[in-house]
Amino acid sequence: MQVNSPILRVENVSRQFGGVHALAGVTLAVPNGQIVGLIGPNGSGKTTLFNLITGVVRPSSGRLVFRDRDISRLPPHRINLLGIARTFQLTRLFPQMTALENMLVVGREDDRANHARATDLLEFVDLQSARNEYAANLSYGQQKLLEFARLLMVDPSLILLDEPFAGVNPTMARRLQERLETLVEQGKTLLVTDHEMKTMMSICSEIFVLDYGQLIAQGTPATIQSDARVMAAYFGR
Amino acid sequence: MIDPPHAAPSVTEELSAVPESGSGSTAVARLPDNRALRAQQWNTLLPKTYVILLALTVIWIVVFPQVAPLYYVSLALVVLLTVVLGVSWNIISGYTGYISFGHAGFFGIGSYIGALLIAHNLTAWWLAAIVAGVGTALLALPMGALTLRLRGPYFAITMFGLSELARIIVSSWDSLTGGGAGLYLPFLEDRTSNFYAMGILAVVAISVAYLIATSGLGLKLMCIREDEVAAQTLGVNTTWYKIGAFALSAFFPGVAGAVYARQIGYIDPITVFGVIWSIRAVATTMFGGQGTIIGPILGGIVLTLASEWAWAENAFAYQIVFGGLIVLVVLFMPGGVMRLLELRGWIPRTRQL
Repeated sequence: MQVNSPILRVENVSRQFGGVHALAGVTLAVPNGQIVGLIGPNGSGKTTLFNLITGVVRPSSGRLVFRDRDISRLPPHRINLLGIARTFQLTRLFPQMTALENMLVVGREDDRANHARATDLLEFVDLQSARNEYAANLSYGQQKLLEFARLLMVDPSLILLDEPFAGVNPTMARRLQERLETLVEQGKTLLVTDHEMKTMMSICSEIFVLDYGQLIAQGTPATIQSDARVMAAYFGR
Repeated sequence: MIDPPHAAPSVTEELSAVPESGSGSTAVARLPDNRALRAQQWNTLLPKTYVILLALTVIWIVVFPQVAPLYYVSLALVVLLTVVLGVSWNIISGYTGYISFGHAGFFGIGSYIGALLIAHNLTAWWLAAIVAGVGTALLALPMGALTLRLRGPYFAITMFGLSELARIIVSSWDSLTGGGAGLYLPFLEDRTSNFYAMGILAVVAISVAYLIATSGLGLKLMCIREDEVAAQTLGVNTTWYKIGAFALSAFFPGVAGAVYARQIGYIDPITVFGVIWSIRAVATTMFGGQGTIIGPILGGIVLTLASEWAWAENAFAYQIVFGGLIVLVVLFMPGGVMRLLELRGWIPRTRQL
């Protein structure tokens, strides 16, 4: 696959909940092998788009294409097996399972390899010493990091991160950022939402802006920052 | 699609460079480490303990009916039966969290399959019992496919409904089942074989539960209980695991129902499809501890003996033992005895228990 051909295409996708248009005709292409940002005010449709891409919610209309394959109607586990994984805005761990069990349960290799990989990843997020603790007993920041580490267990090629920096201490946020960059070097694609604009502007090569369920702008961080519609969406006119 | 596990040497080095003591978080982190150490000691001891307990149980099963009075043998059979119901219910409901009130239905279906095969002299009685288990499990497949998409109370109620539906079908299918008049089985002079059959079934059920709980399969079932959507987005085909666990869970009450029918010699729909069988399964597991290996065994023994004692004291009081206990456990001891011991720090948290 060519580096600059899109890994994911969202084609005229809409989703209604009752009468509410959470997404209205969004079309965008996520380029392969980059960190791509998705920003927008609260309720603009970011999480809905994540839910659609991962199959948690199905589109009312439109199509989602991952590596030339239509995934619009696939169940979540099939989409994940194709190589898409995510974190949730409000972390969704397995609370009454230990940190280590949270990792092992999604492992795809044999026990030994799963264990090695889990240990390695837990070490990276500084949770190796808490590996036998219930996930529910971890601090909020630790839970976010565990969720991120768990996602890496399945070695996805497209990673969706819903506010990965919220509630994570600055030192860890910096390491997380480094790790994201390492993942891109390994050929992964990241789609990230966050309200931490400074971080977003520095790590993303391209940013999509949603407002009221519509794509109102896209481009490099520099162009986004000077876009009048974006300013209006964020700060009002 | 899966790359070999990638090492992160730079990160590991970075971590080892950080001094271990001094920060507040280390003190917090030390506690689980001690606990983990204890859990590890338990984990090396437990499998050996289980082997010894298994051997003792087998000896007890062989010897007990030879030496004990008939009353105690029948009572022990009911204990074993209740353990089978609890342990098998725990496989689906304790581990995946899908609370089912369908065990009475499986017990009844198994009773009738077994009783019909035995009454019409179609197979050996023990083969009839196995066929009853397999038949019940096969029937559970479409039932599970239908109901396991529902969650929480909707699943519990629908399973209760299907269980009742099975009772009504059996009641009205006069030509085959004898309807409400019930079904007689050949009279047995010596019923020791039923005790042995129930004993073997209990040992098999517990062994299967142990193998599931301590393997990756147990983790898969648990993550469905913990967060099914998250599990799905991480590639776990939760539907497949749920239906599989459900059918497996239905096999054991199916066999138990057939053995029970042979033991009491006469069955009718109201007896073998009675909701009390579901309540027994639920109560024993909730009392002992859902999602544990020991819990339903402990619950089955304690509750059966308690209800027998209550029955001797007062014929009405015994009826509230199981139902009343569900309420008390849910209110004051969520997680059951095992969870209580764990919170007290008397036993570690391990999937081996």
